[in-house]
Amino acid sequence: MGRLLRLPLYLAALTMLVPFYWMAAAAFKPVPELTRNPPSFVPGDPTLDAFYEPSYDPGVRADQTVAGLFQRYPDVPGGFLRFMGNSLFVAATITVLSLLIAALAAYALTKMDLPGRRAIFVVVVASMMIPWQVTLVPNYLIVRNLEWLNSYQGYIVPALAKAFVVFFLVQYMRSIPDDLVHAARVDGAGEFRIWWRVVMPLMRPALAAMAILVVLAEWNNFLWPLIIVQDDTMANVPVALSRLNASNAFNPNNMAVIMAASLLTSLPTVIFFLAFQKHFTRGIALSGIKG
Amino acid sequence: MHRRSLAAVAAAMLLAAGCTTTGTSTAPQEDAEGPAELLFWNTGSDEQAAAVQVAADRYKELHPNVTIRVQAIAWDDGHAKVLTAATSRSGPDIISGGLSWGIEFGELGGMVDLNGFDLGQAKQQTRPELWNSITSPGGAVYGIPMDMTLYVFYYRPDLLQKAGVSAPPATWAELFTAVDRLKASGVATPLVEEWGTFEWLPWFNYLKQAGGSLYSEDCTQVTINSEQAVLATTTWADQYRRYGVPKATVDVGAGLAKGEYAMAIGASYLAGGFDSGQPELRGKWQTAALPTGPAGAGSFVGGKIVGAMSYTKHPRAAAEFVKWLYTDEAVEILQREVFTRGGELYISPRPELLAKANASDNLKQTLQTTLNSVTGPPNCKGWETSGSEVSRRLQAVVNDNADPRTALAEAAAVMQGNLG
Repeated sequence: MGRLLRLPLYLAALTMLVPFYWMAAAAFKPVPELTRNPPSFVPGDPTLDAFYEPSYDPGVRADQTVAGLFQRYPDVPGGFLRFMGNSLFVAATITVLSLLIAALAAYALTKMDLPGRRAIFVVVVASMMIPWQVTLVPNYLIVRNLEWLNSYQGYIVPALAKAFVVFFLVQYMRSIPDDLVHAARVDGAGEFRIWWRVVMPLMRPALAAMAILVVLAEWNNFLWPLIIVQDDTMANVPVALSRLNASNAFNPNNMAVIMAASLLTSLPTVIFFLAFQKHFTRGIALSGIKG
Repeated sequence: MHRRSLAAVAAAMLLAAGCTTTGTSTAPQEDAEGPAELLFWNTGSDEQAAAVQVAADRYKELHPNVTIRVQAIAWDDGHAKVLTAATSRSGPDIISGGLSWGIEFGELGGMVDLNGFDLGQAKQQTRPELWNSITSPGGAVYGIPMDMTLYVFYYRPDLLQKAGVSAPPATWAELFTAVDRLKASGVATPLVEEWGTFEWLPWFNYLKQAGGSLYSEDCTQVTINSEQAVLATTTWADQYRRYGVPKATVDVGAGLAKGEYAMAIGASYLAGGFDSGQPELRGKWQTAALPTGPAGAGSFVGGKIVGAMSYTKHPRAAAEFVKWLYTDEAVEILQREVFTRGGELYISPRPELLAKANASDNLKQTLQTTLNSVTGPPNCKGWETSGSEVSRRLQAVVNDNADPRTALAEAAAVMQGNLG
């Protein structure tokens, strides 16, 4: 009976998994199989051509031969790997720095005798209600005036202040007994030392939960990079995928390449989630915040 | 929110913020021969950009001190990116994009008026309908046509013959008779539409074929609430209501290959992908000009403009390259390379060079015929921003059985409002 009741959940999970499977399968299909009607569910003759097509020659026309993923973007050193590197660097940096900043803010708001801390917290929470699109233009103008277009600081700095992370960490930090902090103060530890040595180790589940959300958001970020990046070498993976999609509009044979790129793009996030999912669920549960 | 919508929102906000600035002022270098390093954002696929790069490399051989680097930007995001560049005065030196982008970004102060660079020959070589489309009401030309996209009537002769239709339909009446016969012969969806499916772009064709127009010649009046427009709208709507044309975008090549579709009204760029994308379709498809209406033939022409950004340090070098793209040599390179690298059909804005395009004789003949009756997008203010509202009124005729006259009157009011 229990299994029967879970059946809808299995079906729902299946609907999530099928697109992933379809993407992965399509990335390894040769072009004729890819455009076959009706389509095959399992690649009959798996190939890596979508990643690297040995017979591709840009100067020779061949109907069903298109450049593999790693043969594209010849004007960008490193090609697609460069975009992945950009995404990885930006997402990792923003995640680390924004969590540190948010954890410092949460510590000040919960464990320190900060004047007006309730008002500050209200302002932080209220700022969550402002759609991020509203801040797009001011942020863009600031970044442009600082001459940070086409730069990593243009990607990273505007993304460092994250109100939701502060809010979440405040909720979690409130569950840490104040006595621990007081005891550390009695022992002569400074505030920064208490934050780093006493509080932060206890914050791991919450930090892991937030890390997953921030990494995913930054890995998938499209609009901000689209606006501030004017040179391909600084593009991230979503912007590169968008360009690939433009090729497919004219030639359906590019579909395997798009699927290969999508597969490589999805893998890091899946791996990251699988590695941290225990912390993620624990962090959500302990913070008392429900979706 | 969909990425394209996000990009559009961002673009609109940047525009609303009025963030055009003077930026860093550096005196433009006036020497056409350089030294200059120019960045060219080409809207379209990577393959198209690679093809344009070949042309740019050839230009460098002719002008050794001018280096042009071509970078692709996708159609979905191109408008937002170029708008950002135009308003922030930083980005590429040259851009290509939609036919109306030149006027739009030019009027914002983001693009160079190319009239100062002797456009006489380019103007003479371009179809007047196309040239009018890219000339602002004040006479400025911020970008000249780079390529053209035409509406083409695609069909499967074998399916038509099986249904007792001996030739591609030449008139509206013949078109809908063919639909009925094909349906009776077992073709599931005899006619499909692509390029602005169920939006106002294909409706332009019917409007022209019925003898109507969008605006008066001088752009002072909206003219879509005419009797001709009512006829066009009714016929356009009947496609969906009576003849089963899908309202959603379809894969034309796959449908033709499977025999699910027998006829399609779609963009010329589709032709390049049929044989490579659907090998079983090879040799089975043909093209013709669009069926004519009571006022004769008529077809919308789209395409791209290419122009120089106003903040470039090398306006003259950029303008000279833009003009060079009109030469026989440049067109020949683009025809060859766009086809070789992307399998796409490149249609030059110089119609006399159509004969050299990489296309079948049948397709070239179709394009040549179509070119004689094309209408470009209007250069009147606000026409493009009216698109979604007007499309919504037209769709109401199909979806809600709205009265065409009422729908057109409402649409005309929207367009008149945007005209200012």
